[in-house]
Amino acid sequence: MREEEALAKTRLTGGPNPLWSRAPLMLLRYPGLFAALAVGAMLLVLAAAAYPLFVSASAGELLAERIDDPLVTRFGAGARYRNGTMPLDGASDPGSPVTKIDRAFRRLVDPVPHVGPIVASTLGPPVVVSTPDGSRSREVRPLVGDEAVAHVQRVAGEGDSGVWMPQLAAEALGVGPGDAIVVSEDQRDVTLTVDGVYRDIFREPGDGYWRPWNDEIVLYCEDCPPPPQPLIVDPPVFDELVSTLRLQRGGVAWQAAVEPDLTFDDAVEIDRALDAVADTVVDASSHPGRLFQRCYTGFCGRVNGPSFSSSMGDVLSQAQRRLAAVESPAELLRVAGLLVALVVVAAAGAFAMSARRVEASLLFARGTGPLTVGARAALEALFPCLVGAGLGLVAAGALVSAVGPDGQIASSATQTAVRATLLGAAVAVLTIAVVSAVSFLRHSELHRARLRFLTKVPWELALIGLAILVLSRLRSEGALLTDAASSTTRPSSLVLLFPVLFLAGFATLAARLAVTALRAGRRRSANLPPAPFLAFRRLVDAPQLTMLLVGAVGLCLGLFVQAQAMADSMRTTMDAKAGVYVGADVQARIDYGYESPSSDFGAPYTRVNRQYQAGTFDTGATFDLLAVDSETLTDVAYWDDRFADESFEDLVGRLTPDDRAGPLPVIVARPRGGEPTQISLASSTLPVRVVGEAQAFPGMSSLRPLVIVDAERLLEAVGEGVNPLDVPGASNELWIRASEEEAADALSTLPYVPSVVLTTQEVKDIPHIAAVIDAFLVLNALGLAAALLVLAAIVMYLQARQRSQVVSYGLSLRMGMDGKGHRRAVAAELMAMLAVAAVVGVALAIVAARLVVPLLDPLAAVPPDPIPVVPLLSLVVLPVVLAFVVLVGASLTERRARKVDLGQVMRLAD
Amino acid sequence: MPTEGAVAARCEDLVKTYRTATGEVRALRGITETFPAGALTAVVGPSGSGKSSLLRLLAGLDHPTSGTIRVGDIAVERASGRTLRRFRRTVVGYLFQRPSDNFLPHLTVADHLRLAGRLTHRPPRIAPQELLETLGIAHRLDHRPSELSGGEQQRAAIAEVLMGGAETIVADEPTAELDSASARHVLDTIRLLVDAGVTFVLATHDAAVMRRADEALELDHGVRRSRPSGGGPGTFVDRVAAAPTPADELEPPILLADGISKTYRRGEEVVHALEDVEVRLRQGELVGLIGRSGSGKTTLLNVIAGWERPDAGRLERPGEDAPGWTDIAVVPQKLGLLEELTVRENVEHPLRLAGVLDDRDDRAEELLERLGLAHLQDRQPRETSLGEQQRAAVARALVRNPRLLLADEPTGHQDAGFANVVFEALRDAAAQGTACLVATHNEQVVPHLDRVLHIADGRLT
Repeated sequence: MREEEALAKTRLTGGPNPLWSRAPLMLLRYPGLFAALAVGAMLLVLAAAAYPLFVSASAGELLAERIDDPLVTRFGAGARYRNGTMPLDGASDPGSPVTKIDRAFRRLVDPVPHVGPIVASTLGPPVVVSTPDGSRSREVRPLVGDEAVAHVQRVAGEGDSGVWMPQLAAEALGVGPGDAIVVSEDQRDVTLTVDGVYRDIFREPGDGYWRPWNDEIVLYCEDCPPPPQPLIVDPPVFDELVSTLRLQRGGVAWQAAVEPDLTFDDAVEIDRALDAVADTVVDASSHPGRLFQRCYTGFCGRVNGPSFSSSMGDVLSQAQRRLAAVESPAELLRVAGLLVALVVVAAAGAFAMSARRVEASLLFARGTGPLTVGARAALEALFPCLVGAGLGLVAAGALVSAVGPDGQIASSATQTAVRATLLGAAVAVLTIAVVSAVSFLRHSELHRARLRFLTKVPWELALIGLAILVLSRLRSEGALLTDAASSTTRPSSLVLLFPVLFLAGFATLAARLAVTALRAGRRRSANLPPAPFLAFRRLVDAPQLTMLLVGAVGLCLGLFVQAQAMADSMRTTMDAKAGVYVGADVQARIDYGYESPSSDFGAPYTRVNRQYQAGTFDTGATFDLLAVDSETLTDVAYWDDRFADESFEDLVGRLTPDDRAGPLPVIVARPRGGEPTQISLASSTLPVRVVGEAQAFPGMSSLRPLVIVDAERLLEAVGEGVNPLDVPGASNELWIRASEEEAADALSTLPYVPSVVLTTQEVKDIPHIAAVIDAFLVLNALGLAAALLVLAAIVMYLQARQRSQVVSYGLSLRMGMDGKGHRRAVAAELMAMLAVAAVVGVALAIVAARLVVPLLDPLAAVPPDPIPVVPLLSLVVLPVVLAFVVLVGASLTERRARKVDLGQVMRLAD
Repeated sequence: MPTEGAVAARCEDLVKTYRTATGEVRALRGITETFPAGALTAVVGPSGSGKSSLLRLLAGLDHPTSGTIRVGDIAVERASGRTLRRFRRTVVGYLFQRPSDNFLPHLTVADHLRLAGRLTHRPPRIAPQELLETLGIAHRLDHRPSELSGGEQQRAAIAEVLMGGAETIVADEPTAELDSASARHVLDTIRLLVDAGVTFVLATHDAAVMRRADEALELDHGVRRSRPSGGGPGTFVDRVAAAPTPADELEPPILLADGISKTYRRGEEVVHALEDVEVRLRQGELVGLIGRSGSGKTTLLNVIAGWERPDAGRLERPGEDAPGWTDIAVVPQKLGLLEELTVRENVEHPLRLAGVLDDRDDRAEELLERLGLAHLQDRQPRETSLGEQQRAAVARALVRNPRLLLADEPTGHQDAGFANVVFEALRDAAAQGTACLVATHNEQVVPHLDRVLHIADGRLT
């Protein structure tokens, strides 16, 4: 008996505390709760870990864009030393300057990470190459270089070595692979056999490999003859040429390209290391410095003197400027994402507590404290949160690689993401612990009363106050901030913070008012038909929940619409400004004397003449002038119907009335003051008649009034006076409606080369504005995702409620309600909530966008003013989507109700 | 026996008021009472009288609105949250009405007992082995709560709070959801523990509990009443014998169930819920279906209601395959009141759904009055007691004068007075032609019935 007692005592008092020992794997018994917590943690980590990965990938992409620029290239971003005065004879001797510099360069550059291998090339002086019979000849420059053949475009021939002729010389001589050529200099010659022909590189080097020799082999002036192109030969042949032709001096270059797919961290490392190399190379007091800086001829200039360079510093600073514009909104979006995820985690925690209400009641009755409950919840949540966090990290990586920038992700960013994952899991666990502890307090009447009081406090007024404060700061400080030190412009974070505060505050206030109105109408709703009656009662019965759901949906839909409106407005404004500034898709500046392209020009075009401060009105105000070809302008020029009260065609058509007598017809864009009757222009004073006005007009590039005239009528009006279109400062332009490629092809057919070619895309390439648009697009997606999440939560809530009302549903079916009636009641309830939320959200979104759009003027000096756009497509699609949600929500709820085995539910009560 | 002169708890001028969405509910209005140590005190009274509120205050689950309440050395009204937690761990054990609510579902009985010890760090008043034997659950230590019967669960819950060192146990209708045999076993156990010095305060409607109590406190509308008479007229067998004789066999039945069998699976186990059951009900009959829990009462009601399909047998019922509320109305054990509607709106719900609310509104009015719900009609169900909700479900069932009424334990949460009210309402309905089949294990209702059907192990006996 004593043994049994001892055994019982041991079993009932010894061993680990089951409250803790069973906790870690407890939620495996509740797959729904496990999934809810895991999803919450996943979202949290997704928001936290995606940021460093996104920023790193952005930095990598920006870096790659800069490096891939033909003016930079991987060779340009790497290390390059060139000396155009090197003695060529005996260059390979161990004691020669070339060999010494080669050793020194390698010693300095080899340790630089992510750079290499080092390639060297030697460019000799111009020599003559001719056919063996001497009938035809051209100048070339012998060149020997590591991998040189790999960096040209082959026209004929195979292999990576041998003698490679430039196409221009080969065609002039009429030679090709296998043919003999004679290289001569000052009566001495060497006969060689051509192994291949490559495309000349004097027009566009196309490859950074040739950068050391750009000054000598690339054509820089339009009317000059092409400079002699390299005759690429193998080292023995080069040595033979040097010795036989007695070539004295030449240029030797060493360069090391950066590796492809660099991360931003790699680039910083390279830049730092190359700075150190540069310091050594230019230090004339050191031995290596003296070696590198030595001039082997009597005179060393910019073209032939020793030089060490790397574009990595410029590349980095340009990338950093753009990155600064991206980082600011991305950071705010991360915070917004984290907040949304925290709400989801907290909701999941509250849901978990609510689903295990009986357990909580029991623990409360047994004297368990909130700290114990919180700690137990934390222990239970650890496993699902770790699983969710792991999935979140994977999802963040997948998201960034699928839809994010294409740049390389630095290992430090990956490490940060992993740290964010662990931190996210910890925060999720902590949040769940806190929420569980607070939810547990609801079992205490005292705390319940306090919590109830807290829910009645109109917290949204604080949000509204903050929103007003943020807006006033935006108005006083501006929405675009410029850092004078780094000369970077970035959008203020407040631009994104304002709509969140504004929408959250007013959406909650509107939801509170809607619920108050519903409660006031409770008694009057008694006579409604059953479906709306039940819907009304359900909404009124849980006012806090109704307010929460309406507020949450309103906020999410509002964010979605506001962000869409902002992105659309910014895009439209940028399109309009770029279109106005450029005039059409592409602008090419030409001389006044050049003929206009012929009719077979490959793209629609018009010709205009634009002058800044071309003259003055009789009112004394100065104006810019745009002389156009009225016949072709409207087919080509950019136009937005918001620019004027009438159509472009009608407006421009008035410039060329049939009656040529009378004052010159003009259109004034952005008119100021009274209507002018005459203008002074290039020493002529012309009477004018204003035939139309516009707020903006293609070709405007300042905020001054722009006078638009028909060029031909203007010349007629001027008569014998000074031609106002051929004066200094007048810009003659071809405006082309075509893609960049089509325009470039068309322009290449012209007998002259335009001095400047400008595209709308180039004007629109403003990093901080692109960042604002991107940020709002992400916010748009975030709003949509959050809205979908809330809608899914509402549908899940309806399902959960249905589960708890299964008996009353079964009874209601007996009482006369059918499935259709039930579906109608749920649909009415959902529809009422979503309709209020949608109307409130959309209205607030449009107001918020209208308040912020005017503050974001990407090119303040170019009309038009920022154009607020209402995203009509979204507004049309939104009701359809919401109607679909109502339909699906009601159908799913009805289906769940139908699927329940009522008999079994009733039997469980037996 | 009560410990001579010792007091376990005492309350003075105790007031408890709840604020609800529809106004204030004054649950207790100045109760002054002493609860002797080592005694069984029954707190009785109609549903809504304030029993549960008093018990929650005694157990330290709530604070009183005013007045004092002292349990042992603790003044509950002044105690901090921390002190109350310690109080709930070590001084008073609270037992929930539903036996399964007293457990964490994933822990075994042994786990619960170990956990109780860990929470208090106090030696139990009774040695563990002795306690297990006294309560008769020593063989169930390794079972989870779901594997125990209702009675075993309630005894295991008592063991749990005693393992925590509690000297006073407060229980809210601990036998309400048990059949009479299980309830008797639990009461025997409680008596043994009281004799061993444990103090019990039980809220109950059960006459058996009242009879075995040392002290009784009757509440009505939150106010103390004089000591109730307790007990009931005669024994259960006597009352069954005195039950009215069956109605005229020649009258055509409104319900005919012949050879009904029903089997279902519960996990691995095959349950033969009904075997060859034959029931005939005629218009105006009020028939009781009496049996222990698990005997098949609810399954039979489900089959008749059309919520379960019998495996075999013939069934003729009003409305045939698609009975409406005027054919068969039901008062299920899970009441199925809509929380978003008021009591009145719940009662009117069948009229509203049938589109006859304006025509039959007076019937709802009459039933609310009749069943003592008129003053609660604008409250929502959660603002009323379980007994009041149960009466609302009865009113809802009767509001359209159904041809057949099926009621599952319709007086399970009623005191004797309101149980009579409910049966009088059923009797009136029967007089107007409704055939009523009432499943119950409450022996006090037998005098109200025209006849009684006994069911055990799925068979009518």
